[in-house]
Amino acid sequence: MIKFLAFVRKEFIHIFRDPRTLVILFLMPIMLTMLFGFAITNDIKNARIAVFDSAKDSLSQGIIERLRVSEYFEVYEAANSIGEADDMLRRGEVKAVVVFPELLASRAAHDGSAQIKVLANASDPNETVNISGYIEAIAAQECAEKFGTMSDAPSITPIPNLLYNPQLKSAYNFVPGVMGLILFIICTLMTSVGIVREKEFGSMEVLLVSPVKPIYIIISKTVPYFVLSILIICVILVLAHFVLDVPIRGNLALLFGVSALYSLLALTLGVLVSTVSNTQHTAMFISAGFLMLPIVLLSGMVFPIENMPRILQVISDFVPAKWYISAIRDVMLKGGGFDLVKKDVLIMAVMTAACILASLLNFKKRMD
Amino acid sequence: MYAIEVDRLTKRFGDFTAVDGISFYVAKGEIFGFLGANGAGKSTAMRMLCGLLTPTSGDAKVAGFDVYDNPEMIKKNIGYMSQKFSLYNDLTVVENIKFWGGLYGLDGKTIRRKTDQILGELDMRDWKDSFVETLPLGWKQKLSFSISTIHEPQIVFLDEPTGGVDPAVRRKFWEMIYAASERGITAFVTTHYMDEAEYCSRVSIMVDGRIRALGSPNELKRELGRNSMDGVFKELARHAKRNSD
Amino acid sequence: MSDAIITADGISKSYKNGRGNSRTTALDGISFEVSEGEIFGLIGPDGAGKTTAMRIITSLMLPDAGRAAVCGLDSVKDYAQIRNIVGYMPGRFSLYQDLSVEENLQFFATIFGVKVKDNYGLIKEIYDTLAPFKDRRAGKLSGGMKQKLALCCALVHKPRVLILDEPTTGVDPVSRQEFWDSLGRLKTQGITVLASTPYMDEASRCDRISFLVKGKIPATDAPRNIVKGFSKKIVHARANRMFELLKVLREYPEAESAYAFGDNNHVTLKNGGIEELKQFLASNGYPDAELEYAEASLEDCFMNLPK
Repeated sequence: MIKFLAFVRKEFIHIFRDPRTLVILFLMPIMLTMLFGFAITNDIKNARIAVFDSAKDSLSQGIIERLRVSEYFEVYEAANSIGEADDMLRRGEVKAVVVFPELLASRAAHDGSAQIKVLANASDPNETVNISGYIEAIAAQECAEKFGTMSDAPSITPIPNLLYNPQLKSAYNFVPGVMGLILFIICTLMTSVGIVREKEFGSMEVLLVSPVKPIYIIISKTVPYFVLSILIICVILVLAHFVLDVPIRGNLALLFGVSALYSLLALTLGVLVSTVSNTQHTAMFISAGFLMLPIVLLSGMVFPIENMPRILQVISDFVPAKWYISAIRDVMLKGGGFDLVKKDVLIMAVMTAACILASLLNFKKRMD
Repeated sequence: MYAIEVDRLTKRFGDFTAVDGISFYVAKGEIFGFLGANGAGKSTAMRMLCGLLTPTSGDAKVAGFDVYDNPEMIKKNIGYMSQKFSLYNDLTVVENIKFWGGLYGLDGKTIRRKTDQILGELDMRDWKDSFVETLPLGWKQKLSFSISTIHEPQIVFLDEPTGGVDPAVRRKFWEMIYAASERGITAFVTTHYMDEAEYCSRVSIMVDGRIRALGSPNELKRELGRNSMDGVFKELARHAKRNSD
Repeated sequence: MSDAIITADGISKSYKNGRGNSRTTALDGISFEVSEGEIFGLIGPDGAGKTTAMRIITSLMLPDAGRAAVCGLDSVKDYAQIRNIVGYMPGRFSLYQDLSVEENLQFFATIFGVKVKDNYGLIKEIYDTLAPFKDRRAGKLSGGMKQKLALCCALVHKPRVLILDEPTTGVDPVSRQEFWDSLGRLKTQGITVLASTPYMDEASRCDRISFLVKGKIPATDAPRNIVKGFSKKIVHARANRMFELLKVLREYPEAESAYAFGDNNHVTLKNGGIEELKQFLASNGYPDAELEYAEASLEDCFMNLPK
């Protein structure tokens, strides 16, 4: 145990003697969170839309009124025909046209669902999706008021992500993604480079010729970064909650628990990377290049997994961030309890164990 | 005109004076041994002479160019070889020669001629397509000396060129230095081997940032009443106060 | 079984050589034994296989053939025990540059499960010279001090055997001398030392040495016996233009070899004596060359090893 503590102490010294890296470690999450929260937000504001109301009943008028007063839309003009609406779109006067079919209110009341169409310029599919989502939510509010329950609301193109984001803020969606990304980069990169650096420096040679067990070396490399990652989790959550107004609906302890598990997984994956690379270069390339891209693309952070081809969906199952982001959304935004995330937690735990095992098997007790 | 003229050259880092007002000259074609204990300030002095570090005060001219005004011209007229790095391990012998030849601005024809000449002199034709990594250290050092003089510089700076090399290869290496010196190239050499100090036409010995002795090996031995340069060096460096680089 | 502390018995090792299937032979069936309390030198140039031999003995590498043992412990089977009784100092500086002198020492003591003060007597003399700099980071030490610190770290658990891979490469002559003085004192404390070096003056300070050349050991003996066993005549030659003289000496048909040795040229003669050489030099423009017979040095022996 004393040996182990000596190791951990040494690792902390390494970290604190290198303030530049330490600053980056904390600056990166802050910058990324703010960047995703503010700059790359896909919030829309005062988007010009037109309405074409064939229904002209209380429901459609109610929705239009809500659209008019909402800060997201500027209802430009009512179109008199579909053709006119088309022209407005083509000329770029409006971003979208909302088409209310005849008998909207009675259909909604009768069938429990009705459809309104959103015509939009397809050159910016993302924005279309967003606008549709906002309209859906606004329509839902109106329905809720009219019919008393959400379930009777007319449905439009479904955007499941927005379902639990009634305030229509995109920062909510990004914060779990950013946490998934940041924790992963920091943990994987730092541990992988940490062990490889000892190989490159030659100190590994001395460590090998000492009675230290490989498991000590592995675990002691992960402990300091684990502590750091917990601090970083705090920083992101504080930023998200107090600066970006992201709600934390679920149990805070559960949120921390899941995040800690995920950090541990990333740390052990970093150790695994370090056992297969011989230079800091390779280690960085593998962790930053090879492992990061799948997180951005296949974790559901940016692109919804449901719309991906089957094969990518299968691959995404092996991306740790997918499970983490899903769990953190459940806990943070939905306010879900352990039951809701136990599958994600279980999968991450199994992955962690697999990484530790693979690292131990891969750890070279000799130099050839 | 001298190849190198140094006048009260000084370099301070904060309140630490690494090089403390050293003065000397090196004549053209001379083999000048620049000796000193670890941390005496040799590397710092050498970096200033190569135009890599700006001196705090004092003057120095290398190949006729001033270290303050013309460091770029100095770099064009010198060759540099260090024990730590001079060749790319993952390039072949020929690729390395071509690379450095190109870097020093030689044209294609000259590079081809020089490549052939170097491979011949070093007896390395069979190895021309081997990665430098696979060569024994002694061969690497000889190759990197040849490459550092590929552009026929006025002066070649050699920083511990023979560290860790076996005695036989060290001697061959020095024969190459002599051959270069006969072609008129001035050699400025640092070494920790005192038998090599004997091969120099003149040596300086630095202790704690200052030059404590300067002269031909025979003069220094006479002056200090020692029969070898090893004795001379130990006598001077024994009292060094400074212990760090 | 002999009572040797270190046994190398027919060790061979080859590496894969870049692309393709060609292999480089690093060690070609080397054997030697180191007795208790000896300072034993592995003498040879870079690339001769010294590092490989030491790594096999310290259990860091597996031999292709042959076996190595330390205190009777097999380097393959009993590697865990070997790692407890060996102090090892690799060729390049391998301590933590960003840790201070004291922190490095503490760290290595702890991982070997001892306290610095337990064996302080062993390192006291060396560490005392470092003590004024104990808060300085290891990366900021000079070459000689780094080596001293590395030696302290390798000794802190009081190993029975100390294995040093080129401990003095790049270190100035004064520091080298001090370093070997320390090894001499360790010997009196019962520690067996196996060290490699390309310096012949250091080789002379070993009790016994093995020359290691191109993966083979052409000679193992006490340095003075190796010198004594050198049967050829050596002549020291000096003249004004030493380099030109060397070229002429190489032309002499009866010279087996001619090398520059500091301020002398050393000629190893196949046949004949100084008189014939004098005549040859006189007819080649060196009538005034000073010639004298001399005892072979260890370096002469090394230079004249059968190629």
